[in-house]
This record gives sequence, structure tokens and C-alpha cells, in this order.
Amino acid sequence: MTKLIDALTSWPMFLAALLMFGVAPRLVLRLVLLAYPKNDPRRAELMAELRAIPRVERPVWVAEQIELALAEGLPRRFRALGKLKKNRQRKEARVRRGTIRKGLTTLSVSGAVYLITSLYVGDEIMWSVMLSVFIGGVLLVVQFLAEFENRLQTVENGQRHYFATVEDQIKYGSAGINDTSELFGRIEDSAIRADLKRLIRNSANLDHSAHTLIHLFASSEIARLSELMKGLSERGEITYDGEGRDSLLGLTRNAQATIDAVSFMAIDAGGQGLEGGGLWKSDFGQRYLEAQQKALERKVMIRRIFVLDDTGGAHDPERLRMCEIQRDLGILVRILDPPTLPCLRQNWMYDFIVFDSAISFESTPAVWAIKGTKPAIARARLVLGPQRVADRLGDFAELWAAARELDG
Amino acid sequence: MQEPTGLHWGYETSKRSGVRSGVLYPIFARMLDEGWLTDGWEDPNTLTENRPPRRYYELTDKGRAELGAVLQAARRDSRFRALFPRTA
Repeated sequence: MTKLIDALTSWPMFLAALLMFGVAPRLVLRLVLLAYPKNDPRRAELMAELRAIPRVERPVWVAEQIELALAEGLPRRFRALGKLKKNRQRKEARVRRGTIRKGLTTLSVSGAVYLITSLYVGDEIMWSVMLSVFIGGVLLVVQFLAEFENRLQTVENGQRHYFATVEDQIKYGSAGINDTSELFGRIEDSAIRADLKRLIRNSANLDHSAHTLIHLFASSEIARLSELMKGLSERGEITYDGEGRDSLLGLTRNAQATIDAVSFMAIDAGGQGLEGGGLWKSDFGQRYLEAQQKALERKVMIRRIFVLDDTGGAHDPERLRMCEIQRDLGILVRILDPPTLPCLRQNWMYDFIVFDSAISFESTPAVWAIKGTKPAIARARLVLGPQRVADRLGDFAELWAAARELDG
Repeated sequence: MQEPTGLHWGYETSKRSGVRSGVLYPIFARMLDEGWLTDGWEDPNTLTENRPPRRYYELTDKGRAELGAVLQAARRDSRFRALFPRTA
């Protein structure tokens, strides 16, 4: 006994246990779960739970399940075995009872036939025996045929159920295959299929070992992209909180023919004059100018109307300098003084840029609540509706005609 | 009973209650038999991780009432007084 205890508490045993539970807790758990009957839901439940448990805790948790398997699994298995045995015995008893019933029925009917025929035939006992044996034999065959028919019916019902199940599974599987093939078909038909494939491939490379934050970030980015794609494909509107700078840069970098922009000097200058750090001197403004320069190199025609405000922009040398810089880059620049416009038009002007006469990028300034505060863009939106874009082009043409060219 | 209407998983419940899983699962099994709990499996289509669906347990109305009664009785019993913080 002491030797056994020593063996159990020895270092080799400890290391073997550590190896088994530490390296292969899943394998050990699988072995432990053999204590449960084959279709017991606890098997799948514990295997699934193991995946949700932190790796460090798994060995101890698996060891705990030995207790559970002994306390719950083995009794269930014994009960299942007992049930199986009982079922088998019940079936055998039923078959035995059926055979005895058939024999008794045959004997009693044959006996009755013998008695009746002996009353009528008299001394010709041979006839009575032959008739009773014949009728008894026929009855036995009929009984076996009836039982065979019953068993055949049971088998047919079982098969029908099996086929129905298989059919359901095939239908379910086909539906999944159909969905997948439809999705692949749509990807193949898409105008941006190479990009879509790249997106799917790169997204699929994100494995489960990555940090949760990475998963959440990737998920939110794909959701944002998905919303953008929905808006683009439905030719609707996409709204951004803030300035939507990435979209503005993206559109500028990809424009092929024209960029028609209306810019409010007050907003571009940040309300402080360009020297105070307006849009065009900011990091974004520089990248925006660079993107426009590259667009000009692609032979894109860029027209910009600078709308003056009542803060003395018309004579602000810094602002005028910015207009000149843009003109020198090759942008067609005009200046618009709102008082020269009809009264109605003065009231509802806002920043917009039409790219390739197809997409209008419009920004809504925040309410200027306190005088002297910096004007900012509250919301930007992409408008793709053909009618709305045509309206913006009409507006631009009207403002362009009313604006004057830069002096000098 | 801290989340009487929520879904409960074996491992989390074991951690939160401090009851070993070797004791907890047979309790779950008995509560299922008594109709205090219902169980179900996560929908594989909603899983974001690569793992099999887990089995969850949910208290039934009967289970909530019965467990509430058990808790009330335990609160009155001096042997379990230490388990329930005294309210002012």
C-alpha cells in the first residue's frame, strides 16, 4: 500500500500527469467523457466548454471533470446499458409470446376442425386428420405472412423516415451551396471583383488568435465599408459625421474628368484668416492640394469658386494669396461676392464639390453660435442620385457665371 | 439569481458561484428534470469564433419562483446568514 502511495505521489507520475493534462487536455477530456453514453449531450457540452476556458485553467478543469464523469457519466452509462438489455429481453419475450400464440391458435383451430369433421365423417378418421392438418397448416402460414407483412411495414416506415431525413439534409445543404454559389456569382459579376476578392482574402486571413480589439476594429471597418458600398450601389446618400476627409481625398485621387468646387473662404480659413491656420495650410489641406495637383497632371479640369464672406475676405491679402497659389497650380479659380447674387440664392449656399459630374460631395457647416468661434464642418455627405448631382451642376454653372476671375 | 432572465453557461456559472463543475452539472441536470431550467445550444451561424456551439441554461418561470423561495428560506435560516450581506 505504501509502495502504491509512493508510486502515485512520485515525480515521474507527477510529470506524466502534468504532461497529459497540460499538453493534451482535450484528449484527456475526450477519454474522460467516454464514461457517458454515446449520445449524451454532456459530451458535446463539455467539449465545447473546454474551448471557452482560458488555457491556463484547462488542466485543472479537465481534472475536475473526472469527478463529474464518475458521479454522473458512469451511472448514466449503466442505466443506458440496463435499458438496452431490458429492451432486448422485452423483444425476445415478445417473439416468444408470438410463437406460442401462433402454435396455440393453430392447435386449437386444428383440434376444432378435427372434432367437427369427425362428427360429420364418422369412421373416416383419415379425412378428419388430413383436413385439420391442412387447415392448421394454412392458418400457420397465414399468421406468419401477416407477421411478415407487419415487419415489412415497419421497415418501410423506417426507410421512409430515413429518406425524408436525408432529403431534408440534402435540401438544407443545397440551400447553403446555392447561397454560396450565388454569392460567388455576384462577386464574379461585380465591376470591382479583383478588389472584392482581395478584401475577402485579407479579411479571412485574420485568425482567431488575434487580439479582441483587432477583431472589433476589423468588424467595425468592414461594417463602415459595407454601408458605403450599399450607398454607392443604391445611388443614394452616404453621410459622415465630420468632414469626411478620407472620402474627399479618395474622390480627388480618382477623378477622371472634372472637379467643380464651391469653397467658402470663412470655413476654409477657419474663421481666423489663413495666417491663423486655415484649411489650406493644414496637413490635410496640403494633401488635398497635392491630390489636386496630381489630378491636374491627369488632365482633370478643376474649377473652384471661392465665396467671400463679410469678414473682409475680399481684401485679405493672405486669402487672395491662397487663391493665386491655386490658380498657379492650374486650377481655374473665380471669386464670388454673395451680395452680387439674387437674394434667395444668397441664403442657401453651401460647400459642395462635384466629381466627374457623377458624385457630389457636400458639407454642412456647424451652427455658428458664438461670434468669433471657429467655423467647422458638422457633417459631410456623398450624393449619388443623378437628379441631385445634375442640380448641383446647374448651381455650379450659375455661380461660376456670377463669379469673377482673379485679378492679375 | 443575479441574472434571472439571462443565459447561463456551465463554466461561467461555476466560476461565479464557486461551485465545482462536478457538483454543478448534476444540479443543472436535476433542475432540468424538475422543469426549473431549460437548455439550448448556441446558433452556429451567430458564432464569431471558431469553436463548437455551447450549451446554455435558462431559468424558467417555475425555476425563478422556486429559487426565489429557496433564497428567502435561506435568508431566514441562521446557518446561512453569513452568505447574505446585512442591509441597513
